[in-house]
Amino acid sequence: MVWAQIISGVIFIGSLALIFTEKLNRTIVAMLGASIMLVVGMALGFYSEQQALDAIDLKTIGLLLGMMTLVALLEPTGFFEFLALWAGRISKGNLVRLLFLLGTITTVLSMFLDNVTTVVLVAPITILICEILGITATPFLISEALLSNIGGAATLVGDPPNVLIGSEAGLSFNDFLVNSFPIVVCCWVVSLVLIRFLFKNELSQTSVDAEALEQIQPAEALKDRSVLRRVLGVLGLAILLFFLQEILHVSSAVIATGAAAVGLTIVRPDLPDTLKRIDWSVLLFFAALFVMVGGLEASGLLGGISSALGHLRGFPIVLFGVILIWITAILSAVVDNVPITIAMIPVIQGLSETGLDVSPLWWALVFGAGFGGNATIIGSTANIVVTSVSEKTHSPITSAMWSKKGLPVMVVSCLIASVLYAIMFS
Amino acid sequence: MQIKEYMKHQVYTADPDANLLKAAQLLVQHNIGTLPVVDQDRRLVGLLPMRKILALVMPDFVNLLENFSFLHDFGAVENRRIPEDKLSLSVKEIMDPPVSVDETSGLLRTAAMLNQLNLMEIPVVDKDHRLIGIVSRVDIGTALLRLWGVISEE
Repeated sequence: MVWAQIISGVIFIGSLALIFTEKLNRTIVAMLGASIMLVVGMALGFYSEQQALDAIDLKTIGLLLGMMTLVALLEPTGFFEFLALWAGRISKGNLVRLLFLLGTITTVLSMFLDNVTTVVLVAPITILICEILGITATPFLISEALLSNIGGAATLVGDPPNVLIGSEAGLSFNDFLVNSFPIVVCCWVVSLVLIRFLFKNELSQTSVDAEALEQIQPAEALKDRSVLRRVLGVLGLAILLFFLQEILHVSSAVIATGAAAVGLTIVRPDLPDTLKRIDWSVLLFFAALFVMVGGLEASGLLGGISSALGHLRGFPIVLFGVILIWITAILSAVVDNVPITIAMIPVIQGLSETGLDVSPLWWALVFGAGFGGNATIIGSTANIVVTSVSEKTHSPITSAMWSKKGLPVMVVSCLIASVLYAIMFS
Repeated sequence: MQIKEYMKHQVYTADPDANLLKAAQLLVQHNIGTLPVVDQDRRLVGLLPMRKILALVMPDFVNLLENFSFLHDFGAVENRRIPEDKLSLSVKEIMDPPVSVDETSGLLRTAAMLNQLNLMEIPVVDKDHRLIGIVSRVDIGTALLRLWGVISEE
């Protein structure tokens, strides 16, 4: 079956390579790769239809779908805009305070909700606040994406790689709170200070018209308060249940999809409109990647990797983790962190089969995937989104502009994470 | 009921190479909202609506947000002015693509086109695509209401 291993490996690596070139939409590549994997696997007799179906991790997809549905319900209420406007108003035109408030709001929101949605809705308000103040919005937009990428690493539901790692490694919401959250908070605080320093000149601009901020009525951005109350209620309940997950013995996917069902029932939205707000391409991408990884496993390639990695058994796991943080981070800076995570998961699983306790490595993957994307303009979806919003304005963000601020933040956050990681897991 | 019977025959036009300052002067001087841009043969090459000039100072958030009713004061934006360098841009650099109706087009058809294209005025051209007039929403509306007998002629 060596041929099966080689062919499945070629299909997987070929698909990842095609995704990395960004010549073709990644979801299309993944679907194509999954189909080829299945057909070849069936022809060579190492992979069956049933195995492919079983390979699709419905816990990951369910958790993502559930959270996306809740966000889709929250999005039209104007809640995100309300918070950003409120930040603008209470900043009273003090730019450092504005940076801190907008950064905190986007981070906290993206810890529990999809950070792309958060950034998409907060960015236009940020531009509005900066324009009426007569200052440039660029530092605020870049900071929002940087900080929300860091914040997303803190929780199970903060970022798609975490959802993936959580379900592959069997990590709960509370596991993330204990292992990831404290390190992320430290990295976030240091990054905020660093951002303040990196944008020293821009933040010393004098706001031309701070009085106009007082005329903003954030509450007027809220469209339907009764719907908002209901959605926030359901969301709050879901988060509470995440905390109690271990006592209740239910998966995060059940909680998220259950909350989505309750949310849909009590809000009774225009369903096609709500469904349109869900990022189906991410869900399809995940499903297709699972089918591909399932093929790798069925061909015996993963077992091969683990025996090849067998001689690493004596290697100190923490050192291995620190190396993993940096490798993942550097790769995530160049391409999206989801395929990176998917490629790393089999490696860690292979290591675990050698009898090594790999649990610290999962956290290394979380930090690397979460912080790495900050370095470049294309490193994370939030970066791409902020940039594309800025391209509709008179001062678009350029790649060089991004890396000048993002790269130091990435390096410093990975450094802090490495140090704290080494202390925590050794 | 062809549009050529109801259009304004006197049309102020802009040269594609004229600068924006010159175009703005024409708009203000004749109190009009749109300047058809024509070449030497009077063929339509573009449209320069007043809106396009005002857009040079319009804040970005206006295009990014569906609703900004919560903002009661535009603050620093309200005091923005068109930068000098923008006024020296040529008309062809910021004009919209040419849109026109044929002189034989019906009134209601022309009104529908104005609605669909979200224009206030539309140039009228002859069969050789030469500009011969311009017609506004108000011109068409007035003509139609009279034609339908809703408003009787004095």
